[in-house]
Amino acid sequence: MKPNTPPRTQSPEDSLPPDESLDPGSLRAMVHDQAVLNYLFAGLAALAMVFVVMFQRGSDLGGLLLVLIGGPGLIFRKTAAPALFLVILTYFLIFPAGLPPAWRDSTEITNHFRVVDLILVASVLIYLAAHYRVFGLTTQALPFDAHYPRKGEKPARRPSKLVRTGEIRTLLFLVTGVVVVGQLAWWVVANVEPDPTATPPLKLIERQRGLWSSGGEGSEWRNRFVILAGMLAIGTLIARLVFGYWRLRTMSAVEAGMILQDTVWNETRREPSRQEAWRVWGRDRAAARQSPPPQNRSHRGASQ
Amino acid sequence: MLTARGYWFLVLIAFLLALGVLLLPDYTIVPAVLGLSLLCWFLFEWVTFQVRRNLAVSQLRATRRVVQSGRDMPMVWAGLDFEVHVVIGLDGPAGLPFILLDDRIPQAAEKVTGESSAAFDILPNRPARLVYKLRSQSPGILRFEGVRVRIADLHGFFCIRLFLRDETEYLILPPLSDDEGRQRADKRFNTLPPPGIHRLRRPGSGDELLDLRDYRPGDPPKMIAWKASARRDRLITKEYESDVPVRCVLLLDTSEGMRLGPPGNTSLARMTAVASGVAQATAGNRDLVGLTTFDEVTSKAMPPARTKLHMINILRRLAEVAALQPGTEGVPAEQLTARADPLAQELYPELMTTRVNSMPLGRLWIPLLDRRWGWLALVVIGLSPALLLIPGWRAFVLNSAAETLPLGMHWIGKMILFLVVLELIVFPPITLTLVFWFFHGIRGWFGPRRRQLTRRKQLAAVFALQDDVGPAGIERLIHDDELYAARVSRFLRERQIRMPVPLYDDQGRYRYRSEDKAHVLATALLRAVGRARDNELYVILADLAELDTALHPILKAVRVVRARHHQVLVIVPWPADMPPPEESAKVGSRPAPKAPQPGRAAAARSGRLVDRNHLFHPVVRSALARQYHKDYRKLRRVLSQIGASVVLVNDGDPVRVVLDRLDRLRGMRSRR
Repeated sequence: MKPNTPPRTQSPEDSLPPDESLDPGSLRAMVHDQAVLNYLFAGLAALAMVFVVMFQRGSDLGGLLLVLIGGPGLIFRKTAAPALFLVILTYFLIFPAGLPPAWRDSTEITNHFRVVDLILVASVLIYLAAHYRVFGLTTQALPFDAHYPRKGEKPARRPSKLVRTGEIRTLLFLVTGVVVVGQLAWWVVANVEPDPTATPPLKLIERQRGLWSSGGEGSEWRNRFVILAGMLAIGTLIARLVFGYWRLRTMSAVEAGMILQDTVWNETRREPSRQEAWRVWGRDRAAARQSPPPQNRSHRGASQ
Repeated sequence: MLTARGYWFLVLIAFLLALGVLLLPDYTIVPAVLGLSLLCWFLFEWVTFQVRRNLAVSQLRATRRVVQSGRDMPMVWAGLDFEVHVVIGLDGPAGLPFILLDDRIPQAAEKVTGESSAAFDILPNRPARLVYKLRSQSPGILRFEGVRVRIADLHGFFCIRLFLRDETEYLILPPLSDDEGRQRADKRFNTLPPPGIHRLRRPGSGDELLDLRDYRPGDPPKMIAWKASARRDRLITKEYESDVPVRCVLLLDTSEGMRLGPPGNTSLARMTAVASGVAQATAGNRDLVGLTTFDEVTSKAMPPARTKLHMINILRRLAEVAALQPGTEGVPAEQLTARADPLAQELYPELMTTRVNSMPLGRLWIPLLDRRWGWLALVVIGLSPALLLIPGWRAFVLNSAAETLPLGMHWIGKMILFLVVLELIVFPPITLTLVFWFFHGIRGWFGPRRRQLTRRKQLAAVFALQDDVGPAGIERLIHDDELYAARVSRFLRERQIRMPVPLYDDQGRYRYRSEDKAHVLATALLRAVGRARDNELYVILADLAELDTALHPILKAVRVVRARHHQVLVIVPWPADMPPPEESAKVGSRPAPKAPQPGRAAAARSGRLVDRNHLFHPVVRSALARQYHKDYRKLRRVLSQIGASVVLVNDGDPVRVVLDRLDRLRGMRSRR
């Protein structure tokens, strides 16, 4: 049986940064904040790993450039850094030497679960997660109110005291899982094609010496597109159904009442609208006929 | 829910997927794998956020306590700090790793110390707590609306905004008078008559012997002083002092004109402070005090009494009236919407989204036939076939239509094409009218009208839901400006949001003269006199300076009061932006300004020109000030003639003046 003790509450003092005199956005505060420092090291380590992998792929220039963009972007919390990082990474994956042409390899598509790819993807994921979390801890974790931003509203940060123990460990596990799921998804996209005659309407692609066995020119990318779009559509549909129903179950009475009222209004609004328009018209006309003549004037000051 | 950061990240993923999955696999599969992995990560974060949201958001609970002097208080005192403790707990099974709480500070108070906003990591057994100190300078009502909540994931991809409504009102009682300054009591209370009774050296039914006199027929036998009668050999009667209750009745003007001004610094707030000081000082002297509040419509009286409960009730009533706000009659509906919509967005975020509070495009369409001239369209369409009656035109049209038909077409196609060509050529007025109709109607989908109507509909839907008037109430509020303005005004007033109100109506009349309050005040005064006993002091705290001829009922009532040997004291508020009467001579000595042009004067009175044209401002202000001083002097003269004193609220300490008058009423046994 649980003891009947009052629940421990947390107060704002718990959530203050370690050193109040320092601006949480400053570099000095980042160095003094253990939580930020952990994410910073994780991100930099991921960048180092990206450099190693790119070096191994023969793209030493790309690796260096990625480090030069990702490192300062992480330290100085530049919002464009992740986008730039991904674009440059993609470029150097296509052109490892830095300049066209790219080397076409028809067997590339049959590769799955290559260790180098796994490490590279995991490193990129860790770098991106670290970047966004450091940004949230030091600069801005929440967007401003989109409807009516208040004057002088300061960006809301996530206090480093809220960083739970083992958050980085959880992140590593998550990244590992995500990388494996990503590889599986790629395997499905690359090796399954739709077959309307089969049940379920999918079948494995039969490749001969790594070449496409069925269809003509351009069939392969269309097939991947259909599979990917189908996966996304089915996933979205399921998520919409599950979370939509769940949302209805947890909806408050006021919200539900508003939905019902809005539905009824949408279906019946024309008749009340007509009636009200005529009622107001009649009232205004009657008032216009009985409007009183102007009376005395006063001398009070300006409007308040 | 998706933030800008999340949106751009999703765009990046889509870019990587498009490149990696569709175009690049023959060169490298890494972009595809990376894009799919990033998508999986993003979806995982989304699913996690959704699960947390569905499990936790509906289970958030806020509880609030207001603590003053170490105790939970149902009401607070103005001028003293008090603490607000807000605890946000979570009943559900899941926690929220990052939640930002921001308690909405009431309009009537200002923060002294502490943080009303902070970020937390809430777990079911670990609620969040906000503690901060507030202070309210003036009496009124302290209304807490609730706590703003924003929940986000750790990367800032998703965020939701909600409001934990916790509508609680606390009265802010007027500040307690200091005992040293206002308390006129001392140890001699021990020898005084019962509370509220003061001895007056006039014959009466008291306990203290006043005098002996000869017996008059009709004197009760028990009043005969037998020993004195025996000594003087004639009947002598004892006379006792009179026990006089000194009662003070405060009549407080709460009309619309008194409520004008910045929050906490209105005439009503100042008069409330004076009334509170008088009531407490009078009670401190163990006198009886009553309170009557009145406005343009009605009055509410609390008969004189002396108990602590009565004093608390008086202070509560004063706090309630101090929170009154002027009506927004005359304010355009658009201005009200502009003020109410942000508030509603903040307080009811879940009810103001288009998901539950929609605005269909059909409702935004501008119907042509709503305009009187729009019916011309129907006339044009109806008369257009008459063109066929013109022989030359008819022949031209039929020939042209026949020539346009291509050879070899199916007869159905020919028929459709023929009808279209016939319609286009035969009925150009119809075509033009329909095109005009279309463009006239579709204008409603764009521009400020769309925004205005959408906001108004959404507000109307919230009000209809709160008032339980159903969907028909929405259309009523959309169409009826007066009803809508009244409802929005009530919404804003309840939340203590002030609107700039026009002081003058379209015809240049001052909207807040409140002539009707003269009748209400006179009635209340006469009713109080009818219940009075003896030696009463009526303190009228009212803005009477501009009533002018409408003052007549009050003068009549004051004459009745004076005829009953009671005292009347009138305390008049003085507008904050008006120079005091001592400066009237200075104002009057200025050279006479040029007479303002009628149009500009009207604009100046309505407050528009005053704000914009600074050159015109001093002239108008000077003229208005002189007129106001003149009115005040007239009021003072008229009331003095019938024996009522007039005091300005700015003149020294009006509470002291009232107490002096009470002392005078107590007669010769004044302790001062």
